[in-house]
Amino acid sequence: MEERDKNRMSSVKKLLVFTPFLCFLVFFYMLPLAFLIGNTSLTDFLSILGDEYILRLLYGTLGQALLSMLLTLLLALPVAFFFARYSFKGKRILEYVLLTVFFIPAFTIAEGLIVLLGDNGIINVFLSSLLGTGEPVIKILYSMWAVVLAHVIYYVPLATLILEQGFSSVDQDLVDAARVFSGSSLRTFKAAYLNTLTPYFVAASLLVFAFSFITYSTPILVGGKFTTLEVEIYATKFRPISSSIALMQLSLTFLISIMIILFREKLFAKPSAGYPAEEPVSRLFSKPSGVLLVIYVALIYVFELAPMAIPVVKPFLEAGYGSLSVFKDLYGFKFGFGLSFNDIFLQSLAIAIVTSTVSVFLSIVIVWSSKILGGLFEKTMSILMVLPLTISRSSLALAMLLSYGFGITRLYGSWVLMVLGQSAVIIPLAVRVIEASWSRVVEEYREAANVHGASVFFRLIRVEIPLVLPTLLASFLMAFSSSLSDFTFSTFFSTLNLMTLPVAVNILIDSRRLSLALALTSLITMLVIIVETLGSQLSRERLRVI
Amino acid sequence: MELEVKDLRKRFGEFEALKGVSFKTPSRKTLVLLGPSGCGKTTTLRIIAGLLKPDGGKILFDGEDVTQLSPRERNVGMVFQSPALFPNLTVWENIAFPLEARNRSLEETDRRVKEVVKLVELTGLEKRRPHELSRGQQQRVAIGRAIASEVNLLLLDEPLTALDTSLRTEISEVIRNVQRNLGLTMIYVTHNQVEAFTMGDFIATMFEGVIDSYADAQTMYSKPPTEKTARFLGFINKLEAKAEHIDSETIMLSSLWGEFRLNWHNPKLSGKVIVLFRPEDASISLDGKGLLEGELLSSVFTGRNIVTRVKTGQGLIECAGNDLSQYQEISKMVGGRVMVKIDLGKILIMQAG
Repeated sequence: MEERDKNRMSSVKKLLVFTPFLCFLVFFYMLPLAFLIGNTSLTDFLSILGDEYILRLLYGTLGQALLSMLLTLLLALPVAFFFARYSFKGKRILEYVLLTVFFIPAFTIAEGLIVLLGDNGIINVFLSSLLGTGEPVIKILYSMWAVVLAHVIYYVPLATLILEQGFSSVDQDLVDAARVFSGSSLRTFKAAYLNTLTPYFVAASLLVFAFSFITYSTPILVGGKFTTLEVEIYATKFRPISSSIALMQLSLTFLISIMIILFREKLFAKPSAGYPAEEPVSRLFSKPSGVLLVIYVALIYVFELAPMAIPVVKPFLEAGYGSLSVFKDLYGFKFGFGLSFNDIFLQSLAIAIVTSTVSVFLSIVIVWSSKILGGLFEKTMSILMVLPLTISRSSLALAMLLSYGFGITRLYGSWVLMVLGQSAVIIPLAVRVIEASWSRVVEEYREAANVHGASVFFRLIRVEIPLVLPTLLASFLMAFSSSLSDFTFSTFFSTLNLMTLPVAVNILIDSRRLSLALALTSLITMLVIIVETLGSQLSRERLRVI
Repeated sequence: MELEVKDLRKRFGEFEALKGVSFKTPSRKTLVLLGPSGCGKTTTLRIIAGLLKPDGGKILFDGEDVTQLSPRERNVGMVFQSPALFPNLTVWENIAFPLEARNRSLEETDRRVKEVVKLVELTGLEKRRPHELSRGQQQRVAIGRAIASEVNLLLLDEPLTALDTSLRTEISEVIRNVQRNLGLTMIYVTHNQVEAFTMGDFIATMFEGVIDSYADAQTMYSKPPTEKTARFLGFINKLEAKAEHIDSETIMLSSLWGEFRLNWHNPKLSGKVIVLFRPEDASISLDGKGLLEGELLSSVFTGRNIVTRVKTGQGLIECAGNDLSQYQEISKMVGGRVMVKIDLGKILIMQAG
C-alpha cells in the first residue's frame, strides 16, 4: 500500500474503510459477549469459582490438555526432524497424508478409537485371543485417557508441521561447527538446535494445549464420564449456570490467545533464515539409530492413519468386500422428526456453501481494508484475528444463542444462526490464509497499477484478486470442509427441523447404530479429504496456522 | 511538458534521503539522474510519480503544482527496474491497462494498443502472458504500458539494470525511438554512466540526497562542473598545480612535472588548481618521454585494456591508455622507473579547495 494512499486519506475515509472490520467484531463477537455478560450475575460467577464440581472440571480440562500437549510434542519431534533433515521421493505426498489427519473431522478419530479400542474392538479382540483372556485387555475407552489419545493422534501432524519448520530453520553451518567443536550429540543439540527450535517448540505447545483445552466432540464421543468445561457449557446450555461457566471459559481461552499473540510478536518478528540441508534418506540405513528412526516414523504413520482409515474403510467391508448395503441403510434411515438422510445432507451442504461464501467474502473485505489502512490498523487487525483462533466455541455458541437465538433476533432453529456461528470461527483462519497470500503480491504490481491510472477498486478487481484467486478458492474449500465437520455449533443450534451431518453421527452413536455412524463418518471424511486435497493443490498458504 | 522539481525533501525515519533537490527538465528532452546506489535518485523519481509524498518541496508540470495529486491524476508513465507486468494479463491486456483504468472506450483502447504494440515491436505476441516472453520482450511490454495512455512524462527507474549487454542495446534503442516518436519528456534514473550518456540530453549527478551538477551530456562528459562529479565520471587521477593567466584564452600551468601552456576558457581560474584526468587519457611511455615520472607498481591485462598503476611524487596514478599489444613490454617495466604521458587536451582543471 503506497504511502500516499495511507497518508492522504481523511479520517472519515479511514473510518469508512475500517467499518467492515468493526462490524465483524461487533456482530460476531462483541454483541454476543455482551449478552453473555448480561446473562451472568456476579454472584453466580463468583460462586462457580469456588464450586468443587466446576473446579474439578477445570483441573481435569487443564490436566488432559497438558498431557495431550506433552505427549504430542514428544511423539512429533523425531518425525519433524526426519522430514526436515532427509529428502526422498514422495516426501511431499507422505507429509500431506500425515497432515490429512489434522483436517478430517475430530469425530472420525474418536470413532476410529471406538472401533479399535472398544470392548469388542479390533485390538482388544486380537489381544484377548492372543493372551487367552476372556475380556478386553486395553480399557482406556470412555475415559480421560481416550480423550488424550485422540488429541495426540489429531495434533501430532500439526506439531510435526510446526517443528519441521523449526528444524528447517536451523543453520547447517552451525550444526557442523557444533559437531566439530562439541563432539557429543547432546552438546551439538544444545549449541546448534535449541536456540532456533525454542520458538517453534513453544508455538506448537501453545497451540496443542489451546486446542486440547477447548476440546468438545472428543470427550462427548469417547470421554465417558470424563467431561470438560466445553462440554459442560453445552450440557447446561438452558440453565443459568451455563453463562457463568462460559464466561470463565472465555476468560481462560482469552488469556491463552493473548499468550499466543505476545509470543508470536516477540519470537516471530524476524523471518527465520535457515540453511536447511537435506540429506538423502538412504544415509539413515547405514547406522542403527537411523534404522530406528525410520521404524519409528513408520509406526507413527500406523498410529496416525489407522484411526482415520478404519472408519472410512470399515463400512465398505461390513457386509462383504465392496458392499454398499450399509450406505443404503443409511440413506433409508429416518432420523426421527421427519428428517431423512437426504434432508440432513442437503441442509449441511447448503449451510456449508453459504458459510464458505460469507466467510471468504468477509475475509477479503477485512484483508483488503487492513492493507488499505496499513500501519497500526493493519497490525491491530492482524493481532485481533489471532484471538478467535483458540476461542471457546461452546462459550461463543452459547453467547450467540442468547443474543441472536433468543435475544435481539429469534434465529434459533434457523440456518442463519448456524452460518453465523461457523463463520465466526472460520473467518479468522481464512483471513490469515488470504492475508499471507495477499502479502506475497509483489508491491511493484500495485505501484504499477497506481501509476498507470488504476483506482483502488480497479486495482483490486483487475490485479489483486486475480493474483490471489487460487488462495481464495483454497479458503473457500477450507471453509466448506470446516463447516461440514463442525460439531460445536451444530449441536448447539440443531433443532427438530435443522440438523447437520455431524449431529446425525452423534445421534447414531447415541442410539448404538455404530455401523450407520461409521458409514456416515466415512462419507463425511471422504468428502473432507477430497475437498482438502483440492485446496492443498491450490495454495500452500492454507497451512499457515501461526 | 516541462517538469520542474523545487527543493524536494524526504526523510525515512532518521535518515534524510533528499536534502533539497531542485532541477528543471525542458519539454521533450531526456534528463538522466545519475548517481551511486542510495543517493536518492529513485526516491526522487517515485516522488515525481506520486508513489511517495515529499516532506517538503514541490513538483510542477508545466508550471502547475501537482505535489498533492495522486499518481492517477498526474498521468505519467513509469517503467520499473523489473517489468512488473501483471502476470494474470496478456501482453494486450497489460498495455491496455492504463486505458481501461481511465475508462477509455473500447474503440479507442483497441486503436491505441495496436499503435503501441507496433511502436515497441511486439506484433504477433499480443496474446502471450508475461511468463511466455523473454526478458527483453517483457521490458518492451512495460514500456508500451507506460506510454499507452498518451502520457506527457515518462519515468524510467533503471530499466536496463537487470538485462544483459545485448538486451540493453536493444531496449535502449526502443526507449529512444519511443521518446523521439512521441516527443515525450523523460526522466531516466541510472547508476550506469554508459547508459546515462547514451540516453540523456541532460544529466544531473546526485550524491547523498543532493544534486551536485547539471549539464548537457556532452559538457558533462568532457568538462564535469565539480570535482565530485568529475571523479564519479572517471576523472580519478588528480594532480596539483598552479595556474597563471597569460591572456584570456591561455593559461600557464606549473607543477612539479613541468610548465605547460594550455588553451583554457575560464578567466576565474588562477593560483592553486587541481588537474583531473581519466586513466584512458594517460599511458606509460615506451620511449622514455613523458610528463610525470614514477615507479610502475603493477600492470594488469583486463581484456579491454591494460591498467597500470604508477607511484609518483603526487600520489598514485592509474593509466589505461596503452595499446593491448604493449602489455608484454610494459610488464617487464614493473618495479622500475617509468614516464607517464598525459593527453593535455583532455584534462580538467579546477580551482583547488
